[in-house]
Amino acid sequence: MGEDDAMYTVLLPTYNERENLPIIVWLLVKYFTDAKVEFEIIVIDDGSPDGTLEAAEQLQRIYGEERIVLRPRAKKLGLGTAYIHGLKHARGQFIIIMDADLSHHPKFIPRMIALQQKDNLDIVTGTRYSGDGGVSGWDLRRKLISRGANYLTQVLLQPGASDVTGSFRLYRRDVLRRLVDSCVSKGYVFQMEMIVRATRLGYRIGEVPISFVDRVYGESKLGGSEIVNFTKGLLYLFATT
Amino acid sequence: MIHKNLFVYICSLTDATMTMLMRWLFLAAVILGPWMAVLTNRYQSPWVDQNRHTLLLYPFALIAAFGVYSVCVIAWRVYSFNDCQEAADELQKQIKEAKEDLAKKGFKFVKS
Repeated sequence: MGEDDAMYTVLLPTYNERENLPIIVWLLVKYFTDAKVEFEIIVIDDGSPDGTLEAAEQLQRIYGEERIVLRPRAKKLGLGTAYIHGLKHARGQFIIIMDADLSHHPKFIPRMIALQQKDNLDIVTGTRYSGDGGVSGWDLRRKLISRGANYLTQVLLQPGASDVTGSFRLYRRDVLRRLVDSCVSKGYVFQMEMIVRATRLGYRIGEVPISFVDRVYGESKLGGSEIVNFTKGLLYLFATT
Repeated sequence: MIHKNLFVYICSLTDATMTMLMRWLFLAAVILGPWMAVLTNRYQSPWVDQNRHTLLLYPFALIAAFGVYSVCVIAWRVYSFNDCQEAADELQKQIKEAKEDLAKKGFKFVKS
């Protein structure tokens, strides 16, 4: 099968993204159309009380049911199960996972696609930490915690990617399936576990520098409990991978 | 891809199904084994006796050196962390553009 006519599925788990969802969908449609690539967007809404699903239905009317697929769930369940749920009916040979809050910009997707084709990769991950990747909206404290945690992760786990907690990635479909089935962590430790297990299994991983626009950080500071969870996750992965 | 090559190298030294914990324990044994021998006087030689003080300090020196190296690396990475202001500006512009285009296509935005 020629990879020129490969199809790309974007999995978009959402919770209270009524304002951002239309924008992210518009941007995805724009960049996929410009790249002349077949795509579909699967919106997995976890029963958002703010009307996210209604917004998704409007988008479906505008862009068509082939392009915007809705797979809602009754309540907030984990990210891993959201991916499994979305994968069930995905038509793409490649799956892109990303955040729906506009921190990840679809303009990087064509670059991920190009790198995957060039080097025949199994996974392409966006990185904020190398090349001209970076972040907007972080203060010194946040940057310090981020770099410190990432350095510790690199030393202890040798994960094979510079940005392990990042969730902007392109996976070959069966690779994603296999990894999601073997990962048990929650939240961003889940993303760490995915990439570490991928390296251990010998998958080919490439990176594309991305710019991460954090408009949410001001409201939710990185607190003690997140740091504790991160450390627990890191130790768990250290002992089991 | 330096991390990957380093990992592959470590794998080649040990069984590939070992966990990172096992690998680090192995590394610790390699470094501390000779040190323990010197500490407990199991290895007799004039050179060891002469340099005993220095030899006993070497794991601590390694840890200190690693600590200094780590601090420098992290400080440099924080300092050179890219601030993507243009990305934030571009996003603002595109949000406006998207809202106008979607409104034209019939999308009803809810005023909040």
